[in-house]
Amino acid sequence: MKSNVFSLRAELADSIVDVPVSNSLHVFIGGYEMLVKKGAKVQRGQALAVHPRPDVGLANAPVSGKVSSLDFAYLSIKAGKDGDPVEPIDLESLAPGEELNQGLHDLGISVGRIREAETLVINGLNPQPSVTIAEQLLRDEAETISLGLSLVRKAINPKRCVLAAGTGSYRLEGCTTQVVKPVYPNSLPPMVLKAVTGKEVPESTVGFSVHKLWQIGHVLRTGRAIDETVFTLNGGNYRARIGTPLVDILDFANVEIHPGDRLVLSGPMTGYSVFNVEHGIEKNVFSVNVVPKNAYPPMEDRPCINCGECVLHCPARLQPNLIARYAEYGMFERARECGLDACMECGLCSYWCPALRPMQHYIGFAKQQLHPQSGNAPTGWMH
Amino acid sequence: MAGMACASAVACEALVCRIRRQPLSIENWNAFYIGLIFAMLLPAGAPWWLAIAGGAVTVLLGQALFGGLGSNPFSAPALGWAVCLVCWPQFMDVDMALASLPINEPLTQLKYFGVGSLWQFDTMQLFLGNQVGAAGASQAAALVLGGVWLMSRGVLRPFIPLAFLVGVAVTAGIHWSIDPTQYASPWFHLSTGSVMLCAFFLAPESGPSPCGRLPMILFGLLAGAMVAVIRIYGVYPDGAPFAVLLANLLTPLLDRIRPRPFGVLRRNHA
Repeated sequence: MKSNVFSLRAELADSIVDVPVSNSLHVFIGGYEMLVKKGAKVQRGQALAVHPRPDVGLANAPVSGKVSSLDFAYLSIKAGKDGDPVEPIDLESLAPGEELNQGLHDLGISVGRIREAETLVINGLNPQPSVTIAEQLLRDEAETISLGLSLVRKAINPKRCVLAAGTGSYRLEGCTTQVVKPVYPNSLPPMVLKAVTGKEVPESTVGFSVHKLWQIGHVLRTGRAIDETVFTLNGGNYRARIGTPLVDILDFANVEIHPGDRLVLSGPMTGYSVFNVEHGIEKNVFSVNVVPKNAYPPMEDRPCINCGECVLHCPARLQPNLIARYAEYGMFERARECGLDACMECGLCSYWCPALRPMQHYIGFAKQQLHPQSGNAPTGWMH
Repeated sequence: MAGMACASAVACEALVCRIRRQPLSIENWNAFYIGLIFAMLLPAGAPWWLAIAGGAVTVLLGQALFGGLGSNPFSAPALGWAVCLVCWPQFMDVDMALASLPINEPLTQLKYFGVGSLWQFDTMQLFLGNQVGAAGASQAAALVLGGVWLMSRGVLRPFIPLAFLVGVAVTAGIHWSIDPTQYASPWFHLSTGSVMLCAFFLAPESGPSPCGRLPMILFGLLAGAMVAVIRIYGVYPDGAPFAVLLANLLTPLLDRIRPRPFGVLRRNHA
């Protein structure tokens, strides 16, 4: 396999293309507690559901309309006329700390990492191979990102601010740019923090992706809850309302799908497949990939052949072969003793395994068994 | 002969799959491969039944008994070779099997007649395969070519083969530099017997070798050093497969060498 498969550099598209608003949007609310009922009229930006974890942002309505259906996973909104607009929140006027975090939380932004720290790291590397959204945002949406950065700086009050990027050509106001070799898995949060601070467990350091800064800049400018996401699809970059069905996005972008193809959200390496083309895009999704049916040989339930490829490729210096075997036989505590918690879930062990074992699935399974509650948080790309 | 060993190995694999009611695993070519490697360790004049018996032992005792590909604690062809050597020494003795030839087996000459008898060999000719030896193992140059091709294709990791060769060369070299009249040169050791076959095909076998860079390198060095030690101090003229088997015993220990996981402080790491 050629090594440039993992390069994080690629040609950028001319600009970010807007996907038109669909008639019906499906907001993913799995794990949330509902605030509205079926049939309710909702306004754009209105709170729909709250997550049991206080640091996870609210789920808000991306469009005005009527709640047409509601189940454990999706809340569907049929777009309708705008009523009285939701009162915008002026984030600038809020005091950093509890008050600002509450404001961001109400606008749908997760605030788990918004706290005072000495070093602020901005992850400007494209997150995964074939995904170009980070550099596209840095080039085309620098204003929104700077806006978000100004608010984050106010909240975090860092002494030092570093932008990690694949080339030195990107700049952010008040940040020094540090070039990180643009090769996967260097874009993963722990790897970026290590590259910038030189430490694997950096003290008083927080990291944000440019995607997150863009979200914060977006809500700061509009005063309205986050209702859009930007993502890479098939080499181009698009902006769509949260909840836009994937089939509408694919139709708009003229991307064909065939039976047996897989729809992978948030990157080919660490992302997840969805089973329904009507799945509404979520707010932290940064890429949509259509993986053709025969692109990779299917994973199989085969025993480990002990070749050691996963050990040699693991960026966390683990023994994924042992961890996966422990997970396979339900010995989760033993898996933890092997360093399971240090796993970054980069997906390289699954990629390289010549026995086609579902390594990442075994590891995710063990993690989920050991920490059942953490599986519910809608996590994005870095932080 | 190689064909008979492979046929026997594949037939045994199919039989085991049938008995275990598992899907047939012969299409992954593993049984064929280990049968072939075993055959390459046999002397050229070995009787046909030895090839069949050895191929069966290689698959059944070497691999199937322990759960198949990747679960075997010992290199399967080396185990098949060792069983045959202990059971039928008269047929496994390369020198005896080919005694009718006008040239001699270099390692036996070294063992029983000392370094003084080695004037009859040209190391370059030995390396190119112009020597008496096991059917495939004596073709050093061809085996190196195959190993380098596998490494360039990324099929074979270079850590174990290179460390193995370094282990042989360094251990033999130390003895040689102490007394060249008593010990053969490292070049002689590298180009005779089954060193190249062991370096590129037996030692890196995935199941019985450790994972991880440092364990792999240590494994190769130890196995390589054992080759020279067995040849110099042991009773067998060529101990290369035995050296691999001995190093296989150390694999569980070498697999205990684990780096500190990312982000885990040293004092907290068990």
